[in-house]
Order: sequence, then structure tokens, then C-alpha cells
Amino acid sequence: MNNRYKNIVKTAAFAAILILLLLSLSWVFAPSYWYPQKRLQDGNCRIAELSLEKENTIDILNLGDSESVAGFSPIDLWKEYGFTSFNCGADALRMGEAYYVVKLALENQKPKVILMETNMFFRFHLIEEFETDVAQFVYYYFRGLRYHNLWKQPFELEGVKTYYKGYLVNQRITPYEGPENYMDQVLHWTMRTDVPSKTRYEFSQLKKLCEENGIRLILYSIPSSFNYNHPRCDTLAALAQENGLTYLDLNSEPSIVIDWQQDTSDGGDHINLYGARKVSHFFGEYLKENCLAEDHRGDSYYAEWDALVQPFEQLVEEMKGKYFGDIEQERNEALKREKEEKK
Amino acid sequence: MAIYTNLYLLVFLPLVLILYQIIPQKHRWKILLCASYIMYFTFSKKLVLLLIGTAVFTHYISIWMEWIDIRSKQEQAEASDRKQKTEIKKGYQARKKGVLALGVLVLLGILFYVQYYNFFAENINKLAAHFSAAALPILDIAFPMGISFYTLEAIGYLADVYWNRIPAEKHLGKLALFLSFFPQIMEGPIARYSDTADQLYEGKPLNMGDLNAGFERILWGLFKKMIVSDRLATLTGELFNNYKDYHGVMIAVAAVTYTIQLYMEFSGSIDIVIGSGRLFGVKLPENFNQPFSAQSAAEFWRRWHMSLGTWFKNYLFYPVTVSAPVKKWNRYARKRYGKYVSMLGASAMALFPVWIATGLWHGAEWKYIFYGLYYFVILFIGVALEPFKEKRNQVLHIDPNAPWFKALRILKTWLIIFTGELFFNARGLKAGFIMFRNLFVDFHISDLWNGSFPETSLHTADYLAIAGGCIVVWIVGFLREHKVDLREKILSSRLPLKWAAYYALILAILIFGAYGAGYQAVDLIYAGF
Repeated sequence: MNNRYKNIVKTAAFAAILILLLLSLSWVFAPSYWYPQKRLQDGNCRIAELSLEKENTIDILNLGDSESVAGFSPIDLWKEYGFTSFNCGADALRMGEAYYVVKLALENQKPKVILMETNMFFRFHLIEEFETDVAQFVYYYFRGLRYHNLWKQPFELEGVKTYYKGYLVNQRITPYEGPENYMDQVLHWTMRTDVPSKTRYEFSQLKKLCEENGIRLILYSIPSSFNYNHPRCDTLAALAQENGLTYLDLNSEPSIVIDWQQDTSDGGDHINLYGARKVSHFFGEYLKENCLAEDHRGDSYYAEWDALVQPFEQLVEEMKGKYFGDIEQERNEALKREKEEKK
Repeated sequence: MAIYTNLYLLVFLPLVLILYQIIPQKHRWKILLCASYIMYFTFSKKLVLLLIGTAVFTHYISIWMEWIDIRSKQEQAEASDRKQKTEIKKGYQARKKGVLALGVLVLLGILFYVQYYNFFAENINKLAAHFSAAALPILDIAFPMGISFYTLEAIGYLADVYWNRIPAEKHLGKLALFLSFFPQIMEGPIARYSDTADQLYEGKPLNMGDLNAGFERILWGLFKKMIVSDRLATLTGELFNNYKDYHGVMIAVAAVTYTIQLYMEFSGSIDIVIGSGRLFGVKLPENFNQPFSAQSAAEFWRRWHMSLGTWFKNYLFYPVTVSAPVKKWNRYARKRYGKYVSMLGASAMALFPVWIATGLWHGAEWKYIFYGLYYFVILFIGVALEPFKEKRNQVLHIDPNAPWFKALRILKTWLIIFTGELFFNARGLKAGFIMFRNLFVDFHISDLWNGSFPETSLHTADYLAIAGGCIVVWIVGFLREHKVDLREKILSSRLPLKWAAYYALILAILIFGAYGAGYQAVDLIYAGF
């Protein structure tokens, strides 16, 4: 064998061993091994927790970027309607990433409905898109890399549960001070009003995935004075129509009255728990009216859900006016003090 | 497309390598040039035109200077006597000098305009406000990434052509490649034409030796950046952004951790740069040589950002040292005040512009000017005290080679470095002074563990990763300092050991690296200069 072929064989062998090593990381960093004592301290926590949900118990997935993460409370939806849902969005989520989130969710769940918040339709930066695409592709096939931060778990303090079915309790209030009819606003020039073709393509793939699995996909725009105006919502309405999907613009929905002095945590960009409860209530009514979800209250298979209501309410009571990070910090400090005192 | 991104490492670089290999050798430099401009376009868009313009301008200035030389030689050959020859030579030399001055002034003028105009305008306006004078407009100027690096390379090239150290490059495209070679355009190292040009143009076929060396070097850079630097950025960001909330030991922590972060980030990205070049068989100049082993501030600067130091030494320090005013001063002062004072004055005259330029090179802010002056003062004191050091050692019976004495000197150098970096990264000069003052307020070591340590997203495990990463880097540096190059040893070791080392490095980066959801990739600090 001449040198050139020797080198090719060597390189292939090196790559093959590397792939095996990376695959073996999936065994080491499996959420089921590390959870549920301490939660993952990064943006993968929702996907990790979703993978540990009891099989086929989630009927509704809420998907989107930070707007949806902040604006949908599954425990409230359960308490009021008995619907099981999971908030599986992530901060700054992109459409390509959302596709993999759904693929992962389908491994142990058969959701009937996906509520997709639309702000991510307008997020586009070519290089960042590429970075995300590569990362998500690699993370999907090499799970250990997605959860690589689990190595930190043995060193973490006992976690404070502020995630409830993917929803982070946030009661901080920072009123919105802008004009009342923000839907008439002209958004900053950097905020596009068209949907990039790459995003459209990725969305079509996601829609196909939903169709193949019998999932009803519903698009919605959450109330956000920072992100929405009429041109954006018109684009989304047209896109939904093209795809034969339902589009709900909650900014113009008369049955949701957002109090912008009370229901936003950061001056109109994201809604807080008070706003999220209104949105969750709206979806409860909508899903009930359209018979899209089933009331599981009283079913012993879903007993865990009832058990979560009380601690959730207690947490809400404890952290009135606060952001989830505040209470995590307080609890962590208290735990540290306790440890030191024990020493 | 930064050099630490997936796009660069997993797509761009492999693609360029494949194209480079399949193209005939004589055209390979063209692939490198295209890749360089594509890469530059990804982060500077239309400002790539400025880079092209700089290459064209530099090319014609160098050709002009060479043409003047040719004309001078022709006319000298035709001249009848020596006097006439000398006259011709002088005349052409003056013209050549004028052309060089034009080239340097235009290149510096562009750099000044994009990097310093607003700084000077703001400060002049502040002054003018006192005299009710008209204000200069503040302009919205786009910053071309890497301009400080390629401008210095262009000036260095022109100076070398002027001094006839190198012939002018006749091919515009090849010169353009030297000025824009894609791995180094963002963060350097600042190469001399004679160091890299031939390697860039040679189009050497890829070989396993270079590929292994480059791959290993890139991994090493990622290790430093992703395990240590990107994590520390969270802590230093908190301490420097909210500097008023911290005092005493926390300020010391800010200075030390920022210095480590900067070293890991800058040297790490230079490892990626040098590794990328090596894949193509191009050996770029080194930029770091265990700077924390330095026993003096002067030695530190011979080990830290070496390519910048070398550039200033070659193109500013030496020319100033042999300039007419310094020579005149030497003659005058030696007669009147003696050797020592003459040496002090000459040192001050040569060091001052170098350190002001070093400060300003980092950016248009008063803190950078202060940073330059800080090192000027320290180095000048070092020069002034040099003759007394031997006497001190004799009187106090100090063996300058004793380990304890070396350790003390290293420790002193660390203090100088940490203080410098405190001002360097402060949010303005005033903030730097406030932080420095607060360093001496309520200094309690116990603040490190009594709950005063800032709450950031870093947890115990992150600090362990940082400490582990630093220890590994320190061991490698320590061995290198003692002439044991671990990287070379791995490269020349048997296949199983070599692969084991590579796998260990890759897994360390993938497991302990700061990446993925919740992490924001940290921009390269020197890419902004």
C-alpha cells in the first residue's frame, strides 16, 4: 500500500474511533442517569426534562423562543382544564432547532397539538443559522454532546425547582411605557417583516413532521409590544393561510386583555406569570371549544400532575414580584449558609 | 465567521484544504487569496474594498520605490564622476523617502480615520467647548476588522522594500495574499513579508506532518479558549461592569482572572491561527513564549504579543534610535553629562513613541494611552536602575540565579502585569483608577469564601474546569520553558500514543468546554483592535 492510501486508511480509522467515542458519551451523559435530583443548568434543561416525562402523557407542546417560554404555563392549564402540556421552547430558538426539538419530543410522546409561537419566524442571521444547524445535527446524533454539561451535576448544589413542565415562574413587573396601540408601530429596521426562505423551508419540514405524526400545528403570536406590529402579523397570517394552518394573533385577540402595567416583566418584550396565565387560559378555552385536548383530571395515570399544583402555587406565592433567578439565588445562598453552619 | 466557529473549523477550512490540494501547485496561492477575501467579506462585508484598496496602494508604492532605485542605478551608471553619482543617489534617495512617507502616511491616515478620528474629535470638542469654538462632527464610521494588523504588515513591507531588505512583490495578487491570509487577518500574528510570503506562494502540497501539527495546534487553542477563557469572561464581565460594587480582594480577582482570560483567549486563538496556517504548510510567527515566566516587564513584552513587539522594535524603536535627533542628543549629552544621562535620554526618546504607539494601537481610549505610558514608565525605570542592580547584588550578596530570587522577580512581574491589565480592561480610565483605589479598600482574603464572591452563572464545577485547564496549560508551558516541547513530542510519538493524546484533547474540549445552549460564544478580544 502506498503512503497516500495508508494515510487515507489512518484518517478513516481515526474518524471511526472518534465517532465511537462520541457515541459512547451518549451513555455517560444520559439525563435519565443524572436526573431528577438536580436539573441541568443550561438551555437544554427543558429538552432533558421532556425526555424524562412519563411516556405518552403530553398532549400539547408549546414551542417557540423566549416569548413562548415566558408566556405559557402548563400547570395553570392543567389546573383549570386538565390538559397536559409542556413548554419546550428555548431562548432565541431558531426554526432549524425547533425541528429537532419536535423530533426529540416524538421519541417518548405523541402530542396531539403543537402551539408554535411565531417570533422565531423573523430570526435570521446566516452565520448563526449555520452554527445552529450544525450544532443541532451533531447534538441529535451525538446526544452526549447536547448534555455534556451534566458532568457538572455532582458539584452542583441541590437544585431549586423553578421549572414546571418547562415553564419558568417569573413575576417580575416592569411596565410597558410606549404607545397603547403598539401594533401600529414601525419596528426597528433590523427587525424584518418577511420570513426568510431558509426559515420557510425549515418550517415546511417541521410541518411535514407534524403531518406524518398526526399533530395539529397551530401558529400564534404572543402579546409582545416589542416584537409585533400589523405588517409582521399580516405576513404570518398569509403564511398560515398558504400552509392551511390556523393562526392566532393574541395581540389583536379581544378575549385577552393584557395589562401592560402589570403583565410584562421587561417593559413589553416578554409577558410575566400574570400575562402567561391569561394566555394559558385563552388556549384552554380554545382547545376545549375545538375539542383538541382531553381532560385528564382524575385519571390515576396523570396523578403526578395533581401533585405538582400545590408546590407550583407555593412557589408562586413565595416569589411574588420576583424573577425565577432571584429565588434561585436566594435559595442557593441559604443552602450555602446551611452547609457552612454544618461545617 | 470567526476562527473558533463550526462554520470555520468544520466547513470553511476543510473546503479550502480540499480545493487547495486539487488545484495545480502554481495556482494554489489563488485559492488562499480567494478564501481570505471570502472570509474577510463574511465579517466586514463591503469593507473588504478597503482591504483590496490597501493591497493595491501598497503594491504600487513598493513598485514605485523599486523603480526609483532602478532609475537611480541607471543614472549613476551613466554618470561621469563620483560626485555626480553621489548627487544622483542622494536625489533619488530623497524621492524614495518621500514615496515611503506618502505610503506610510496614507496607510496611517486611513487607520487614524477609522479608529481614532472620533476619539480625537470628542476630546477636541471637549476642549473647544471651553473656548466656545466650533465642534468637529462625530462620524458614524464602520470599523474594518483587522485593520490594525494588516496596516502594520503593509507598513512593515514598505519599510523593508525601502531599506532594500526585500524586493518589491511584482504580483499584486500575491501581495494581497500576504496582507490578507485568512487565518491571521483577525488577530494576527503580524508577520514580516520575509517570514511568510514565500511559504504562502509556494503552494506546497498538503502532507500528514503539517496536517497533524496544524490539527494538534488548533485543538490546543480550542482547549484554552473553550475551557478557560470563555468561562472566565462571565466572571470578569461581572467584576469589570459592576466595578463600583467591588473592592479589596475582588478587584485583585478581577485583575488576575482577566489576565488569565486574555492570555488563554489570545494565545488560544493564535494557536488556532498558527494551526490553520500549518495545515497548508505555512509556518506563521509565534506570538507567545510563556509570558508568565518573565522576570521583568521588558522580558514580558519579549514573550507576550511578540509579533507586535517585534514590529515596533524593527520599524519604530530602531529607526528612532538611529535618527538624527537621538544621535545629536547622544553627542551633546555624553560630553556634558556623561554616558549614563546620555543613555537615559536616548532610551526615553526611543521608548516613549514605542509605548504611546503600543497603547494607541489597542484602541482609541485614554485607558490604552495610559496603558502604554504605564509600561513606558516601568521600562524606563528598569533601564535607569540597570547599572545599580549589580551593585545591589554585590552589597546584599544576592545570587541573581538563585531560584528564590528568580521567583521573587517573576512575582514582581506578575504584579506589574496584573495592574496593567486592570487598567486595560477597565470601563474607561476613570473606572481603572477607581478600581485601583478600591483594591486597597477593605482587603480581606476571606471575601473569597464568605459569600462576597460575585454570583454569576459560573458554579463550583466551572471553577474546577478553569483550574484544571490552567494547570494543564501551566504544565505544558513549564515543560516548554525547560526545553521539553510536549506538542512536538506528541507529534513524533508512536501512533497509539499520538491518537490517545488527540482523543483526550478532543474529549476534554467536548465535555468540559463552554458551549451549547445557554452559552454565548465570546468574541475574540484582539479582533476588536
